[in-house]
Amino acid sequence: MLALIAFELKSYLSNRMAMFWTVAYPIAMLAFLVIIFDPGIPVATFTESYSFQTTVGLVSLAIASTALFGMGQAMSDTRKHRALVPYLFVPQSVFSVVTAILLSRIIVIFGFSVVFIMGSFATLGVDAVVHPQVILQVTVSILVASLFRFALVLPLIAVSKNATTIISLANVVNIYALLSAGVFIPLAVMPDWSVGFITTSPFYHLNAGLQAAFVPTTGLEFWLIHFGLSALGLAIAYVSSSRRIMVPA
Amino acid sequence: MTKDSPPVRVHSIKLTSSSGLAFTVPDSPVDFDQGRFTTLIGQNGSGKTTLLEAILGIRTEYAVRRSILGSDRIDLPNSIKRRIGVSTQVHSYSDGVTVRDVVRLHGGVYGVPINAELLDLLDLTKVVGSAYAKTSGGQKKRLSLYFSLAHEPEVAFLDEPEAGLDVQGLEALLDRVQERSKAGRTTIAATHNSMMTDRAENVVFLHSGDIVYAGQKSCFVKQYLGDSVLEVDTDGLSKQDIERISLVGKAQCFDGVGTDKLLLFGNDASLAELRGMPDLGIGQRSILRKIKPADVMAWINARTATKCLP
Repeated sequence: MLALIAFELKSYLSNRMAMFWTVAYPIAMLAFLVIIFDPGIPVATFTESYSFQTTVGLVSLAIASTALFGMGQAMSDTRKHRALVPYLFVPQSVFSVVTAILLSRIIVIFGFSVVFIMGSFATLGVDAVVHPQVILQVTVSILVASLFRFALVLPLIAVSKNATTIISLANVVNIYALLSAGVFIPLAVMPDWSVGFITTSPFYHLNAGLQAAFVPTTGLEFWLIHFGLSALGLAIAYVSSSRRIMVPA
Repeated sequence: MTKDSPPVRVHSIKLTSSSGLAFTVPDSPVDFDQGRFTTLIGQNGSGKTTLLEAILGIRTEYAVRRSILGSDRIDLPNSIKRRIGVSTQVHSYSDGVTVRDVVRLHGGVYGVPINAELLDLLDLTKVVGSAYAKTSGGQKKRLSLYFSLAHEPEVAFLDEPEAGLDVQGLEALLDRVQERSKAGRTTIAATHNSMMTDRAENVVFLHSGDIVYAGQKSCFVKQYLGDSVLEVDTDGLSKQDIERISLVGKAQCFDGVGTDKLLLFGNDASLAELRGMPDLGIGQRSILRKIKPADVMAWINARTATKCLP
């Protein structure tokens, strides 16, 4: 498993398109959003600031775009070139291979998220609390968000024959994720009829969970939601781990 | 797998999609014997690669009933995967990795040290530090062979292994395959190459998806071609004369290397008789000799092969 993770990590880091969605896209979006839209209104706590909410929202967006577009497209391309076929015959189950691929992506996005958050907070003057519980919560929140979103791409890859179909399906999921996450459109300004639609979305809870993780006073709900979503992510990954993911259609 | 059952046995292959090559498997299962080198032979498009990939479960459009080392599951258990090696015709890795990364990956997943001797044999030692993307097609093919053979699998499935090898490299690989056979290991290869088929003990002959023959190579040659060949120089002969000559003999084809030599197959006595027939007039322009592996491959690759099929 470790050999597969190391190999996939190197493959992933050298994929320019995947790196664009993982690194360049969120940085460009942050610069764009802060320069154009930052209202500069003084707030009581750092969690209410535009810079904080935008940074956290963009971490969510980076994970989603990396998963939906970076991993979806990269896996579709490698499958098309039969680069996943050798994995069918290594003495590992398809689920183990898929887990290794997911872990390699999660390692990268986690590393990027930490650097992105620290860099953004330092640059934008967000005075976040540094506390062991916050570090633990943020770590768990990023890892669970990554696991869930990456796992969600697997069924798309399994049912799609090519990258175009994957990107089309990913766009549908992404629109739902963007609308329901509360990153760009806060829940407070949404019409009443849409509140149920948003608060039942896992993307809303993932983004709200990451925001809440920066405060060292989270309750049981934080841990229950993250445990539930990680279990759901693993279940999706397990069910989707079939030969269809590995072999060209 | 019981003591007597072969390491690979194919019962049936059914096409489940509306498009694709439909296979016909003989009534009795096709066996790939233990400790034997078997080549899958046939013209382009006869289904060699498709058969190999269907057996391995790469082709999802086929429902295959087969067993590999006793397992009939399409998703082979890890314990069986550890004992097989696979080199497909197109076998690639991400461009960003190096040859060394692939070699290390092999060692890591199979839990074996780097097989320096095989790296040398496949002429890969000097490119081990190179980026995979910058290696040639031949080097990629040889790396795929390394991945399939470095853990000394009990059964190796190789699709056109000759593609990336020069004559010396192929000789070295065939020596390796022979050693594998002596050690009781099974090698199955789809090929167009006469050197490969020359060294094979068994053949599976395919024609448009029909598994026409599966068994010992010597019996195959005897059954379809005989033991001798009459090599007729057709230079200067009219088309009608060539057609007239082509009708005699058990089977026939041109030698496939761009010359004007027509090969008439049969047994020694009947070909000697043909040679002496004055109305054919080929006595002076023909040579009677034993069949060579290249003749067999010329016949297989020629369209005339289909005329001799049952």
